[in-house]
Amino acid sequence: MNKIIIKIAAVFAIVFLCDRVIAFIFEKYIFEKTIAKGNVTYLLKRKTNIDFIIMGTSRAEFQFNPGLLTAINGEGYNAGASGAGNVLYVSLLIDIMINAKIVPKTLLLQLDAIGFVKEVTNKELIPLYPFYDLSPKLQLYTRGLGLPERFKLLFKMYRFNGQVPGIISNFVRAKQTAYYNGFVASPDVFDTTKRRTLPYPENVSENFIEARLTALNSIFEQCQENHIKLFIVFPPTYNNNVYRQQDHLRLLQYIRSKSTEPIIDMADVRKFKDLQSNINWKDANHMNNIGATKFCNYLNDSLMQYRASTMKPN
Amino acid sequence: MWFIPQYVLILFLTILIDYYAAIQIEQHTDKKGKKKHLLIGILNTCLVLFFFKYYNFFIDNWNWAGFRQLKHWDIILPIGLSFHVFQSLSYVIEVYRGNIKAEKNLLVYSNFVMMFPQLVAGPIERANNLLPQLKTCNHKITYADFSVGFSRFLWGLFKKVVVADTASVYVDWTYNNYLHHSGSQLLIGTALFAIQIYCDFSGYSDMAIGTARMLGFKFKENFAIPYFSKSVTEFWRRWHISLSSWMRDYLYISFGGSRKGKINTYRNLMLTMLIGGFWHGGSWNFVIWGALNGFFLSLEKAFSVSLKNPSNWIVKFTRSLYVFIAISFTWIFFRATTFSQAIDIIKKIFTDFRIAAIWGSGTNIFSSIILTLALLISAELLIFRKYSFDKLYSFRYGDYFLTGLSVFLIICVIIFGNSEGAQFIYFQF
Repeated sequence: MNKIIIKIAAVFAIVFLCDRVIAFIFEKYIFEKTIAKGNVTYLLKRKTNIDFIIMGTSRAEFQFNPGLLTAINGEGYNAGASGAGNVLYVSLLIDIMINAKIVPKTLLLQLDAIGFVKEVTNKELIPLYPFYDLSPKLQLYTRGLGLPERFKLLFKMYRFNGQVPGIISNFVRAKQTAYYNGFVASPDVFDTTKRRTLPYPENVSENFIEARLTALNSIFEQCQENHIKLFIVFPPTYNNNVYRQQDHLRLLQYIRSKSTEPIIDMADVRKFKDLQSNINWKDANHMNNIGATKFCNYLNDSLMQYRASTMKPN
Repeated sequence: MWFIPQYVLILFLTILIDYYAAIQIEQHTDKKGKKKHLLIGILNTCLVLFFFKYYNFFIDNWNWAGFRQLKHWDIILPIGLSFHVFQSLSYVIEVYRGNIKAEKNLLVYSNFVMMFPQLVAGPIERANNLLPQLKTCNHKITYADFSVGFSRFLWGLFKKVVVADTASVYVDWTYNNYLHHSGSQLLIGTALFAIQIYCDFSGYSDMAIGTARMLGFKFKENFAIPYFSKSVTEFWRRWHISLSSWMRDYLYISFGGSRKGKINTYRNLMLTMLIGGFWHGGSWNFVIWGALNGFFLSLEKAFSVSLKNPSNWIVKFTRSLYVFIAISFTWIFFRATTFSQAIDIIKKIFTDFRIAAIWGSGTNIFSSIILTLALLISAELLIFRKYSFDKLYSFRYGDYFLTGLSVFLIICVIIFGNSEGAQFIYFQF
């Protein structure tokens, strides 16, 4: 029996040691040198040049081209995240940014009502785990996830769980990228004859998820405390694919009750004739480059109007 | 997953009835008495199985046929029902056939049916293997057993959490929204499902065998690298071995096997596989899945496909590829939730040739799938195709090798494991 106990102890000691060594090498020589595609590290490294930041899901990543948003002065960066980017993610990312001394003047926050009825999963926060040490808020949040998650976080490589191949691929590509503003321009066109739109998900909550509303309120507070001008943007989807009017109106009402920040509401695609055709879309939820350009022009006009209205003398 | 105390009582009741039936079979000297108690044992287990697993399927088809509408019941399937039912059945039949003696100790028999590592998803253990081990009083946990079992458990964990659960992200992405994806994407999804189900199920078996081994029990092997088979017939000798050998011994041979001419052999193969499909659940998709496998087996029988390992590597590779394609095709019916979904997916695969957006599910996922698959194939090809865990342990530095392998597997689980993966596929059976 003693031999068995020694074996278990030895295996875990070696695993712990290997974890620390691999994590050190990976972090120092690969992760910290990764400055490519849609990466938070890239955002953290470019701190001096960023005047406005776009945050949200893949719909922000594919639709908000910072280069076309001339109504906001300065240089922008699109930090939209595929498979993540919901309000909880954004709230924690802002915490990371602020702790890394990055405070943009303006934040464009992409929201969808559907994002508030989906249950929170750990998966959407895992892209932020590498920055665990930078965010007390993230540390506090993971403490609430229970003992298994806390145990896994004892291993430093777990912070890169499921991300290693992507990070290595970014590391290789970074050498070819001189400048990057985070926007992903897609050339694909949505073929509606072969690909149908997705139905509204069935496994969603009737009420808004409390954790997401708390995260939204936290974003309001973070922006206020750090003097960041916040714009909330609701982009459309093809054929109003994920637009459910009652949820959308309920969310608007909630936001207005909690914040006075401007809302640019473009959620209902029926109001934008030239965005309705499939040639503007990559798939039912994401615009291609053609659609993104039109959308950004609309958005820029709205931002311009807002700027003009705030500059008017009373 | 729910805990329903009444289900434990049902399990105990079926154990008691089978325990009693087996003793009665042994005690009766006349054939009639033996048969009567065999029937009690079989009916007892089959009724429980029918009620929990097939009642709603039967009602759905009854109502669909236009008879008086019967009410659908919301029944939760007791976990691992199909597995311990087959285990109990084989025990009663073996006692009837006189191959084993009836177990007199109720505790030992209950332990045989409910042994925890394999209770929920097999391997379906045979009484002649497990009962003698359970009866040994001076049972000791040895270092060698622990070492082998520990590595085996971690290998299973790696297959499940790293390979199966990573592949499942792409599979779910394509299958859950199949109308949204091109044929080539669905084709990749189907191939990945073949990998997923193998790693999910064989991973569970490895963990069960490993856990039992750490406690000093030796379970039978359930998988033998099946996708390296050279025919579907060989595949079924290497896939879910405990079920396929069960079906061979108690169904195929009982139907007459290959003794009564070619046509009867094909019929017996089809019948066996149809029942095997139906065993998985009350759904026509499973029946079709079984029928397709039966068809391939019959076809190979008709063409007298050799089971010998070809010496030419091109022939070897081509035949393994045929097995993978044929089996993957049958998995479409297994994975699809409805018959029409399966047909739509097949239609799309054969008609929609747009290039797959393989990165659509996320760069990390597809890169992770490729990397973890490379790790799996390398390990199976270079190590486990030739050596078992016991063999590896027996080498001069075998223990060190297994310790190193264990460390490597844990690190892989930490880095690549999908921590939010779904439960085991075979838990639903």
